Amino acid sequence: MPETAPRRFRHLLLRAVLLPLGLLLLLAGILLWSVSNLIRAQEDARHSQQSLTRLERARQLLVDRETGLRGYLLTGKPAFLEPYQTAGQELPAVVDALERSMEGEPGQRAWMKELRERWRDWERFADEELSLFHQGGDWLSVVRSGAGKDRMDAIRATLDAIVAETRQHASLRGLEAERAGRTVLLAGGLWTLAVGVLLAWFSRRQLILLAREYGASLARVHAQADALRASEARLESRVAQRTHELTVANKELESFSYSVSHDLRSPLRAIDGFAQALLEDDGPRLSPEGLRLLSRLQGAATRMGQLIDDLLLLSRVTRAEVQREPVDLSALATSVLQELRQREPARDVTCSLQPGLVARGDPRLLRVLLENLLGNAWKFTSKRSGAHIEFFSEMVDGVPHYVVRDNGVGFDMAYAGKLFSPFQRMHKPSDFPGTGIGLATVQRIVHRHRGDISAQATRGSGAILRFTLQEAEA
Amino acid sequence: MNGSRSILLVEDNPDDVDLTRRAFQRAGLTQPLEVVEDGVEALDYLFAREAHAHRAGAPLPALVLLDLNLPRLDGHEVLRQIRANPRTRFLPVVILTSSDEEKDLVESYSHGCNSYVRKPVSYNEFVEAARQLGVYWLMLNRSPPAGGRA
Repeated sequence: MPETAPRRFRHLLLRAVLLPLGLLLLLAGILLWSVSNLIRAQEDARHSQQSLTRLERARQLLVDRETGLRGYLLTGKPAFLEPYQTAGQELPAVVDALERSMEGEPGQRAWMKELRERWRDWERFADEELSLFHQGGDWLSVVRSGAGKDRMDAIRATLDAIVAETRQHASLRGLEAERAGRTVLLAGGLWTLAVGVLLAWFSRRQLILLAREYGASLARVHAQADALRASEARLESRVAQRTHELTVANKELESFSYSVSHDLRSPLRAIDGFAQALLEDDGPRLSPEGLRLLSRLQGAATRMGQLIDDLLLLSRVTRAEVQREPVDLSALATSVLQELRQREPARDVTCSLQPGLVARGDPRLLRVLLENLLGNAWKFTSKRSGAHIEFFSEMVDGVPHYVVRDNGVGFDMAYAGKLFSPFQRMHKPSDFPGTGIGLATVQRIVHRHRGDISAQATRGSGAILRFTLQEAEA
Repeated sequence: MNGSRSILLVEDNPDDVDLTRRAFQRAGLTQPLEVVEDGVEALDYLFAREAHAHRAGAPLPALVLLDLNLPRLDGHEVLRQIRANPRTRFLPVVILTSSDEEKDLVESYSHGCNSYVRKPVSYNEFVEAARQLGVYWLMLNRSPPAGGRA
């Protein structure tokens, strides 16, 4: 739905622009047509005016011809014949032009025919009068009869009728043109108004639609945000609940391991202590077997005490907050090996430590880690001469890997999977003493530093333990 | 010196009481060892109240060995009340416990213990610890006069 909105918007925009544009073009066409109509009407009016002028000219020439003839007949002076002859020469052309200009006028054919007939009639009569005058006939009675005047009057009447009709026709056309102009003006105004209103209505409708769609999408966004917030709140409350449950479980485990480890120590102390007391008080009276059993009792108690201490350390590694600070691993390793040497000064062990190895981590936990790893190397090289322990770092895929390598007894890789689990041991306690918790503790320390640890060994020819710290960084 | 004054052992485990008594004997400490089994009784003893009312006016012990896990009132609270009372605030108190937790260690020192000793499992080590404690607190160390008036 949200992606159709722009298409719909374009559609609306197109409709809002194209429709009024089309209407305006139509309006322009109508106006053009009206204007050309007006021009034609104007042309007609001019034409009528021309016809009127020609009619007047024709009338004038006819009058000239008649009065000239009459003056000549009455006075006998040839000077009077001049206008008669001039008008006679001009008249045919004027009448022809009149006929041409009258073309298109209603009834012009009939009018012109009548005019020409009357004119010809008058010319015939005039020719009769003139020939009578020249032959010395009774021309005067012909003149006095008024027949010539009658004929001229008929011509005048015809001309008047034509003029009247033409005038009426022209004024009718003018009126029509005026009315058409007014209509066009009015219609154009109304049309423009309609287009304006239409445009306004369209824009308003479009705006309303857009606003409605905007409001709808806004509401959708709000609803989605609300849903997100709600699910986030649900998740958070679930996380909080789980965290609480975990915290409670952790606390219970913690107090359990705390009280177990501490309460277990008291009876052990009592076993060891009372065995010792028995040894001191009644030692001389005990059989050698009794003495041996007592010492086994004490050995077991001591060993269990060590187990408890290691378990406590393991649980503390899991619980402790991991600090992040630069730790000089080389210096730590040196100090651990010095302690091991002090504890067993008779051992002949060569140590190769790479200097200047610094990692970010928890100094106390990293010390426990190196104590366990170097302690193991120390322990498992105890049965051979030329013992060699190395600590160095190598880069693999840009991540520093720290390596503790020894040439001790090693172990069978078939059991490597058990190496880092608590209480899993690779050797008999009579060969190498230990609780089997050291490497589990080491793995936990490495994991708590977001690193990884792996072991590689062959039976009888040493072990290599590789670990990283902060896998993602480095 | 503190030679004739007693040592107060606050310990609920009779085995530990026996072993401590024995360790002190073997270490050659001759001071009488008074034993109370919980926190409330320890405070009654020190402040001569209830069953120990008869001790009114008697001198305070030269040293208190205080366990942390005690019935009724735990060691931390006992230590706090000892330090809160002007009469006992300078009394040497050594925490003697199985706990190696940093939390206990920090809390004990913040309440003003003089020393914190973890009981070793091995009896021989325990005897050695008791001997060193006795030598230091009862022979070497000089405490302020009873009543805390410096």
